[in-house]
Amino acid sequence: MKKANGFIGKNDLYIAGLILLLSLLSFIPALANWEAAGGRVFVAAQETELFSVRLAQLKQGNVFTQSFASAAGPITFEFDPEKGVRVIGASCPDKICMHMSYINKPRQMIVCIPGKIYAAIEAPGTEGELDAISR
Amino acid sequence: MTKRRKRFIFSGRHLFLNKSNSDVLSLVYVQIRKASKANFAGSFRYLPPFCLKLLALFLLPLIFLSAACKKGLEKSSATKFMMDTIVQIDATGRDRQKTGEVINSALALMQNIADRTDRYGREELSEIARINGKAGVTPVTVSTDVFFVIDFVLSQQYPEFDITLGPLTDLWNRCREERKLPGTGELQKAMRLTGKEKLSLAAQQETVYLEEKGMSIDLGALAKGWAVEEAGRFLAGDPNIICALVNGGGNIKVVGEKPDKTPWLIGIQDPRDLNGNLGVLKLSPGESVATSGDYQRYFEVDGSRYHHILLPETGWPSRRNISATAVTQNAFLADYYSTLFFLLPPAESLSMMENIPEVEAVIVGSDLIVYISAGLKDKFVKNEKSKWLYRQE
Repeated sequence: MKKANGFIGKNDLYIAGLILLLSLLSFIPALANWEAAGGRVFVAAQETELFSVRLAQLKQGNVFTQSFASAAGPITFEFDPEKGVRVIGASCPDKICMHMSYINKPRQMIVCIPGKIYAAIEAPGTEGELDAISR
Repeated sequence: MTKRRKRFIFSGRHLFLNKSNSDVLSLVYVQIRKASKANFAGSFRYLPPFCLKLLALFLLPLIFLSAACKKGLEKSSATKFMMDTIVQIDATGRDRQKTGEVINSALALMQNIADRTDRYGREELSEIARINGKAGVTPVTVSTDVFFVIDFVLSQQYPEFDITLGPLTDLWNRCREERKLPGTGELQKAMRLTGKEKLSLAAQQETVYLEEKGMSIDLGALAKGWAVEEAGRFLAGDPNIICALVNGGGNIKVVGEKPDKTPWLIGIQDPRDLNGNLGVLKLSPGESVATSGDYQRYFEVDGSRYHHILLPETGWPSRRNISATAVTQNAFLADYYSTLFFLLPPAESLSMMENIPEVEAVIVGSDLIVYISAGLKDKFVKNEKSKWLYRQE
């Protein structure tokens, strides 16, 4: 390219192009995270995840149940595309988790303390809602 | 307006670095002779090449830095069952890997406290189990922090909060498993083995002694808050951590300011709708909140609810309140006061708070009124959809 008015040269435009390219590249990880941040519901015992389903996938399917072995015997969760997730069967004597209704919002959790198992909804990018619940 | 400003910037012929200060932030205009009539692209061509190169020089690292910072400030979380509850730590740090390591260390710290205070634990690990095992036999030397916790409770003037209710708790746990109420005889027998006056401390030797065999200390109402406080302090002291939230089964401490500078928003459990909230607390960095309620551990007999927070003078679950939430700067104290407020009549708790300005509370009384202490006027937002009757002090 012809040097324009003695102020800008070919190399300068290359640098400008490089800056632009790098700027765009710096957004790629963020885009990837956003893609991954679609949200999911998962069941875990201690640090081991036992089951996970993406919210988008859950919402397109039918109601289903899934049972897991826990420290207090079998526990059964119901996954409902309209209502959310709840416990419909527990082996522990108190069954407090069964008194909870559906969880269907990010950061909500159903915990079976005796069984040391929980279900939670995880959706990164939902800041602005509650950070935690004191219970 | 924005477009006009851009044109204004890029059309200046006298943009340069103030050489007396090489910091990029000292990049200033000293003179704008005239705004170019050329379009934006045209104006760009008038930018002196050394400016473009300098911009490239400074912008490149800034772009990388910006991208790196965004990546490093991602939140990390870990969850673990301990102390008969679920503990979750969320932390945002400068380096994701380090943040994960710090969270694990904080959880290990909490587990250490859990092990040392577990009255059902092995005596090799648990100081409380050792004290209980030697009840009526001999004083037991404990670590300074365990001694401090027991000494703190004994120094308080409220008989309603009693850490020697172990035998009563055991009795009610058996009743819960068998779905029956305790008999008068067994209740009286258990109550004879309780009482703070039969717990003695020796400050010099840091020993703790239960005077009668069969007595036992139960730190269940304090250990979670203590562990949360220690984990919070540990996280706050780590230079990598920007902010964090430690949640030990609803005993919560927030550390640092959130990246978006908004207050921490903590919902308070609606005691009769386990998916609902009484309202939302806006917490500042360093603050803690804990809730005690009759809905956390209970069983029902003939339609009546029997929960786990016992009144020392009767040996029965307290009926004075439905739930009590305490807000303080310290998670240990939040845990202590939430239990104490649950056991006291609401009027007494609110009166007490007038003399302890660093403690605030939201109490759901058995009269179905939600009492909000005066200091929470600007910090608690009630749930407009809630059916409870709220009373702001």
